[in-house]
Amino acid sequence: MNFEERHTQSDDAQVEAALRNFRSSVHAWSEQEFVRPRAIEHTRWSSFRRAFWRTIANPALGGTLAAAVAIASIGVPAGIYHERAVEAEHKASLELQRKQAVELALKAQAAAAANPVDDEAFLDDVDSDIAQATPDAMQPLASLMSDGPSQSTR
Amino acid sequence: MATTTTVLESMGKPAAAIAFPGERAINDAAQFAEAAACYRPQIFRFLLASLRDPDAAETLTQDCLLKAHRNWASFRGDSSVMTWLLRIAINLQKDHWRSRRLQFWKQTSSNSVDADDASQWLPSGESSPEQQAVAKDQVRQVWRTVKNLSERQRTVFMLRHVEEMEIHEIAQAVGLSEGTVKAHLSRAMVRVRAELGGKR
Repeated sequence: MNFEERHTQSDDAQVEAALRNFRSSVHAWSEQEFVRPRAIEHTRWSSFRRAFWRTIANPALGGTLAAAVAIASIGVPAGIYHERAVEAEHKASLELQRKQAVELALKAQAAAAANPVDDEAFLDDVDSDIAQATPDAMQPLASLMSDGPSQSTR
Repeated sequence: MATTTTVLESMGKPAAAIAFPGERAINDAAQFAEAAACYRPQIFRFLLASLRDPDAAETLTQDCLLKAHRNWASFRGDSSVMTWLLRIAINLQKDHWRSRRLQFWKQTSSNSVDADDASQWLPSGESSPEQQAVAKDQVRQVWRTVKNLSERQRTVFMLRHVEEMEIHEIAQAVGLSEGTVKAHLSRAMVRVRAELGGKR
């Protein structure tokens, strides 16, 4: 074994001893810290959170909140249900009105098809409706007009 | 602790190396409680050595166990429980460093212990004052080196030389290949040797 090898072995032993001591030191430190009691440090935020949950945990407030939640959980769905029912009723009413209008239109159309009106008779009726008795002063002129059913005096 | 160890050992394997196989009902709360009680000191020790902050180590240990509890049902038993827990702890530690780096301007209070102070805990085996002085000096030198290592090198170094884990276990815990772990460990050791006055 030459000087270099002996020196290297010596170095290795030194490093191994150092690592062993390091390991033991860390273990000792860790064991001491692990069992050490720790004080809980209260920050402003943690105090606020604690106060908040304490308030929530208050029986009176908790009961009120529970009642509010219960009312909301029943009332809101009931309101929504009622609103939907009214809307459905409105829609049904509109639909009924539309159907009735369609039915009336169809009926009128059918009635018109069943009783066709003659154009000539219709015009005669109109003429007879608008015909008036000729005043005495106009009699000479009336005699000049052609004979027809419209010239009849009433 | 003793009871926990006994219960875990009664499951057929030593507590330190126990692996919960996937086919077993691993989502059992009692099993998790046993595992948590058994491995909590080890997780705390790793985090304390990595962070040098007892309060942060305690907080992250609790976070680690909480996260493990939430994911206990999804633990398939591919690795040992300890490796799995350490993997969670390593990820939490990374997040911790990242958040500290981002929040430096907020002047967050840190209880981080200085490397020199961390070396005051000495193994009780050293008898003479000379031996104690030498040991203390060695521990201080190692701490100084560890402090200046990169995050990954430090993690690998701690797992190897403080937790005495095997290379393949470290690779599982940190999510790297064994070759990469060896490379990180080698670089860390070069720096430790240099600090201790070695030639390599």
